[in-house]
Amino acid sequence: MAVLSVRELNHYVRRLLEQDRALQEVAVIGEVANFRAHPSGHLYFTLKDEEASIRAVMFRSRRERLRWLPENGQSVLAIGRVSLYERDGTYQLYVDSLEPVGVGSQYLALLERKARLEAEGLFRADRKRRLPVFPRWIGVVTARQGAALRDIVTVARRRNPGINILVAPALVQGAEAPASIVAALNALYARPELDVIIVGRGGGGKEDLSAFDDEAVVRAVAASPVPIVSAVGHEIDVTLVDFAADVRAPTPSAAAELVVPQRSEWVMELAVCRERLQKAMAGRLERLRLQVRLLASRRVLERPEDLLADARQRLDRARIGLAQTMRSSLNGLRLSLAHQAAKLDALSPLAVLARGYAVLHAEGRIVKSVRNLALGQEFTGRLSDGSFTGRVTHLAEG
Amino acid sequence: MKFEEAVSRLEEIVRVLESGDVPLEESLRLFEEGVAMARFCQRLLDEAEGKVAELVEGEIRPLELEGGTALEG
Repeated sequence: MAVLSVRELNHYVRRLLEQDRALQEVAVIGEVANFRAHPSGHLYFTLKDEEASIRAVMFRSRRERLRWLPENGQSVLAIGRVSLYERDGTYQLYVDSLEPVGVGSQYLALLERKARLEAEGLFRADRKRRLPVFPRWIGVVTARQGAALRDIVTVARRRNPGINILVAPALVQGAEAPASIVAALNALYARPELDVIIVGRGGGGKEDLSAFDDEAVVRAVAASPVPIVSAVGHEIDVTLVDFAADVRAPTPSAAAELVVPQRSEWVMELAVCRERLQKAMAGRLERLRLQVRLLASRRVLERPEDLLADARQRLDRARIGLAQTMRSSLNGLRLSLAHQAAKLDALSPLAVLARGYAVLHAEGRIVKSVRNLALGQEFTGRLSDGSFTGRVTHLAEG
Repeated sequence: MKFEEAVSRLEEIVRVLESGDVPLEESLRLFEEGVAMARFCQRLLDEAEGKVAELVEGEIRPLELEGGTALEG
């Protein structure tokens, strides 16, 4: 039999345990007892049931993902590995993950609350509002002491020294925290000058963020009249207010960066706009000047008497034209008149008579045919210059 | 009027004036409006030092943070 040192013995047993595959990932249900949160961040407790117990440790790196703290008497499901701590021979469960088990556990209640609020539509994407481009007043709900408020104020004022900040301090952990946060939010909601609000607290593995899972707090955040940014905890933590807010920031500093624009950027943007405005106007006026110069150089404006001469010339030509037209019109009329007169003349019975014809009357009627005459009948005749009488002595047709 | 409304209007005016599709009278009117918008924005940007206050029981008081609210980065 070999004689071993204590160290060697413990090491041997530890090696033995670690060689067993089954012990490298075990899931254990038990009740929490002797719970202690060490300042280092590690959690030490005992897991027990009616008949046995085992020591358990959950290191800080693992427990940072936990958003709740186990309580004595609580039923939990622990997943981890079994080994031996060589220094004191403690056989223990090294816990990787921990979940509450049983009705009414905090975690289950949280899941149920989230589902319920989501079903009411409080987390809908179309409810989210855009942050104001250049806020003048920002509201902040956070602890009066601590890094969160300091960070927000520092970052905000660095980006825009002219920003105004109104802080409504609140308790951010403990049993009174939810009511305190709700009251602070409502106090800010009554201030019409606020353009945007930040609600949150500093984070880290040790911090209890449960106030920001509280139903009343979530409802209050969802009811904000202005865009609201949640800044709870640290990068990986997500609380229910993160879903209800318009924007989620991973840290209070990040929230200030999102909310407050860099003033110098806007100063530059404005200068650029002003310059474009001036240039556009100047360009317009220059184009107009050019137009005016062009017009002024045209003949019309340089020698206006030319215009008059042109006009006079046109007038004279018109007068001559008119006279000519009138004369020829008149001539035409005269000719026409003479023509008509001649025609008239030719048709006149006197003219006919003058050509050697006579008009004969017998028994008061004009004689137009030899058949209307009888031998021996008396008739009167009319020539152009007088009349005569006669007696028919001979009749013949044709 | 809010800052972003004024900025939007200013940018719109600049676009219109640069396009040149506007009669002279309209151009002058727009130019004046643009100048007014720029001045309004500048005034907001020029606010030198903002207030930091706390609201406690309905009262607003200046806020003093431990370590001050210094502006060094």
